[in-house]
Amino acid sequence: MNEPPKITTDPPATAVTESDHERQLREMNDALLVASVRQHELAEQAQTAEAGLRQSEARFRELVEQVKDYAIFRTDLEGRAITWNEGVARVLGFAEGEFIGMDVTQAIFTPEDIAAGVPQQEIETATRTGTAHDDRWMRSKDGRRFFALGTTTALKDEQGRVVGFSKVMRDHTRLKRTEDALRHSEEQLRRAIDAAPIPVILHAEDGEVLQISRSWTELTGYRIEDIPTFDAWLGNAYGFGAEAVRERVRELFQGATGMVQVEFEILTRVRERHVWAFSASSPGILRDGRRFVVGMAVDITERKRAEEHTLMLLREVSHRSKNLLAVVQAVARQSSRAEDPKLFVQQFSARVACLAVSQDLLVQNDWRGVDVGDLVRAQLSHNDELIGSRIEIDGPPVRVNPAAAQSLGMAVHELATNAAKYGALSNDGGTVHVSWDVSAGGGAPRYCMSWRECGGPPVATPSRRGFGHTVIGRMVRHALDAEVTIDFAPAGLDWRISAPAAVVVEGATQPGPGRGSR
Amino acid sequence: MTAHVLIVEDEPAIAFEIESSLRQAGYAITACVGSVDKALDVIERRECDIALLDINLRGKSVRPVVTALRRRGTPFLFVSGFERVHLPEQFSDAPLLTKPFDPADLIRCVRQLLAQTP
Repeated sequence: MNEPPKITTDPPATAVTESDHERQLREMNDALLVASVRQHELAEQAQTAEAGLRQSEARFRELVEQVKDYAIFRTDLEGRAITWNEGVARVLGFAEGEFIGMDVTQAIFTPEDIAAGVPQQEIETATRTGTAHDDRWMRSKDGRRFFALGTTTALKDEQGRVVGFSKVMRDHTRLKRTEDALRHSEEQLRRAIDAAPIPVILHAEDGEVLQISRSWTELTGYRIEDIPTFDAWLGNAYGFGAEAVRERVRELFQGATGMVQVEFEILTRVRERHVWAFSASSPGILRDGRRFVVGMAVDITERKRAEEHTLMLLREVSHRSKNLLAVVQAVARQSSRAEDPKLFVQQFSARVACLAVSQDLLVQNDWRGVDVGDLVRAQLSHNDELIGSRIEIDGPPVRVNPAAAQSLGMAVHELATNAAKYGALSNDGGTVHVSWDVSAGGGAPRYCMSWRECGGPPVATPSRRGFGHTVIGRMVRHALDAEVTIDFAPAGLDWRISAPAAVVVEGATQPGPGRGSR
Repeated sequence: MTAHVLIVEDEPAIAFEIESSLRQAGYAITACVGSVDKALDVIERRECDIALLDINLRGKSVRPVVTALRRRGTPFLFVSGFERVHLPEQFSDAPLLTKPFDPADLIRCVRQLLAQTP
């Protein structure tokens, strides 16, 4: 019985998933080994090493030469080529004559790899483990670089000493480029989803989350590990509402709908409510046969809030305009009593205009109150030319709330109308002094205002109290909790009010009606 | 027996309009006030059969007044610029007269309200 062949090879050090090319390489390598084994068998059978070797060499050549796509050759321990095949010419560009005896490593490794000691490492690995994979950029005789898929195998003698190396390699450049392009495209897609500015989720029909964008986790506060499955996301973000979303996504997988579009309130990790407009579609089937869904969400919390705010403002505008209509209506009814129709229309029109003036100022100031000086000047615009001469306006900047602006505006209007008709502005020399102040005195601050006339015709207490009197008296008292004194002194009308600043001044403890709250 | 009505309305022109409409119709006015505090003070010290309430009084909700009236079993009517759908939830089933209103409607509402009093 003959001894079993002494040339052995170790299996690859690491088991990796085998690609077609790797399989081909392995088969090629096995073929080489079989050839080597056969060579030794023949040698033993022939008894004479010389004859046997020649014969085996011939067979080996025959086999190797059949292969054109693979460079297959053997080197001695120093890396000098001992054999050559067609593949060497094709892949590496060397003719047999120049190749045999050449220091192969210096010729085919790139200068960078040589500088980094790669050829030595490869030989060491092959010596230690039996085989070294050398998938790397290499160069052919003309300097062209190609991506080589190769294996170096240590050849050992009967004592297990390494006597040389066999190398198998093929030009893998085209496939390498395709693979790189594919990997690049996959990487691009992965990064596009990862960095998508709007939240994106990819999940399979069984719920496994395949990928989730950073914006998704950043906006919700959940970590990737909180969302291993779509169900986990639903449980986290929807609580009781989860079933509705689950149902919609189920419809998507059943093909009932091409695209799902829903608005949902989600809960962030810190239990904040956000409104998400969620769209999902199923672009197809994964390699493993599962269908998958791509979902995207737009956080519309702010937009919803703005919509609600707009609605609130519209309600508020409607509320205010109805209130104002009610005021106009009340003014019309109350000023119509026992006055002649012509006079009524004239006075009523002036009163509506007065309300409009105060409204304008309020709108200009975004309903955040009106400066008293502006209010007084606006209500006295009919007597513009007298301001600064016969009409003296005197007071610090004080911003009164909308209700006070309306009341005080009406009062100033009625006082001015009365002055022009009967009082200090009805002759050529009378004067009016309008002043106001906020006094801190003792206790709560008070808003004080006065209208004092001087130099007009002698004043007598009117026999009948009309609506004007109601406006400057009862109405101011009612609206502002004011103390009001109206003195029909012979020298001129003297009107004074004193009200809690809290009721009059904007932003004080008691804000005016109609600001936001109901 | 003359019914006594409490008017809670901060806008004086409207308050006086309600007041004069009610007086003309033969009702007595318990008080005509423009703030929550004054309304509570009146409810505490004086008897009224029904109350007419604005919802927003100088920026404050009329809610404490509603609570005080409900405690006493005094019927009330909201007179407000708000539509019913925009009323605060706890008020949504109370009778409501929207502004601006026809005085005849006001009197009709008051009459209905008084029919509920014991």
